[in-house]
Amino acid sequence: MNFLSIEKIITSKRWDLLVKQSLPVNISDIYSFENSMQIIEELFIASSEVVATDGFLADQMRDYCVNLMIILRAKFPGPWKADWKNEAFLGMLCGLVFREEEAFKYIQNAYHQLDDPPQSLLLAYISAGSGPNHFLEPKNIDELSKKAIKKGITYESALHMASLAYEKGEQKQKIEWEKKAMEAEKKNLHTPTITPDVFEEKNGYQYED
Amino acid sequence: MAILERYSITKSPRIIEESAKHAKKSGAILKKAASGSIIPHNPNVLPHIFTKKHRWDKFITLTGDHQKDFEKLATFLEKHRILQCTRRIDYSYKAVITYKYTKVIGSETIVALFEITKDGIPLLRNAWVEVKIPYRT
Repeated sequence: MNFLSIEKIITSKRWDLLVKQSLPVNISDIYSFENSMQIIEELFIASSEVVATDGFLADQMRDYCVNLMIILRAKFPGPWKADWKNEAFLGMLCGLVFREEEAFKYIQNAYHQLDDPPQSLLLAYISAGSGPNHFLEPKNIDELSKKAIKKGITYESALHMASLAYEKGEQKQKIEWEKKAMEAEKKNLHTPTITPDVFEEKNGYQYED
Repeated sequence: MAILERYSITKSPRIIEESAKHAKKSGAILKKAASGSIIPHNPNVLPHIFTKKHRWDKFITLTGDHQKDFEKLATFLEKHRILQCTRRIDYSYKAVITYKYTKVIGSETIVALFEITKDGIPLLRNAWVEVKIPYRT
């Protein structure tokens, strides 16, 4: 039987083949931490290309990203722990593939790693801790929401507050927050997405010697 | 999509092939989603949505047949125009975006999570009936 090598699959970006032919551990054996993480980012972004036509494949690609990140987390604890965004990103990916308990665990870990968590992490923590699992108590969600909005009114934070007001039956506040969200959007005020530092350092894939 | 349940574990490679085939959405299905029909993101959504913690028995008589139950759920969500309800961003990273839509119906709150494709088509990823939360007193 003829198989394409993992290196060829990666460089030719045949992501469908990657998830069918190669275990995540093969990636972490061949590539460095940095390169493996960059492969994860590419694979994750590529998954959005197939969502419309083949959502099953999109989920397979994302689940592959999760499994590879868990391997990297264990194999490279130094560079992994150096950036809280690695743990948070892993948690958010888990959430996308129905691994909700893991999602909450990793995002909570990231939250506890920081003295003053940014708005992006606060909102992610609230989201992972809300329904249908309710890992967080309602009073915690209220406190975290207050902390998040104190960091600044953005489109995302204002929409969160509007949604919270709606769930509490506070119609007037809901409308006010929706207005604020629209104003923030006009001013292009957005909560930054959680992006691991290693995603920003792309130098192309290199093989380990 | 119910094909996922019909095969035994020993036929698992076939399950993957079959489910992958059934997961592929035709242009006609995507057109329906674009015009407001509720279409699942992929077959994995169905068994997840009908786990007990999602509480759909509050509104739908569940049969245990995920495909039939999903048809009922889609009709229910379409009737309540969930895609026109209050929404907020649940997740966003480059081209991957999910929105959470919420609607209060009587004393219950329903929540539906959609991933938006690059062409702006919403596909259902998750949905549940909220538990009654004491902070709302």
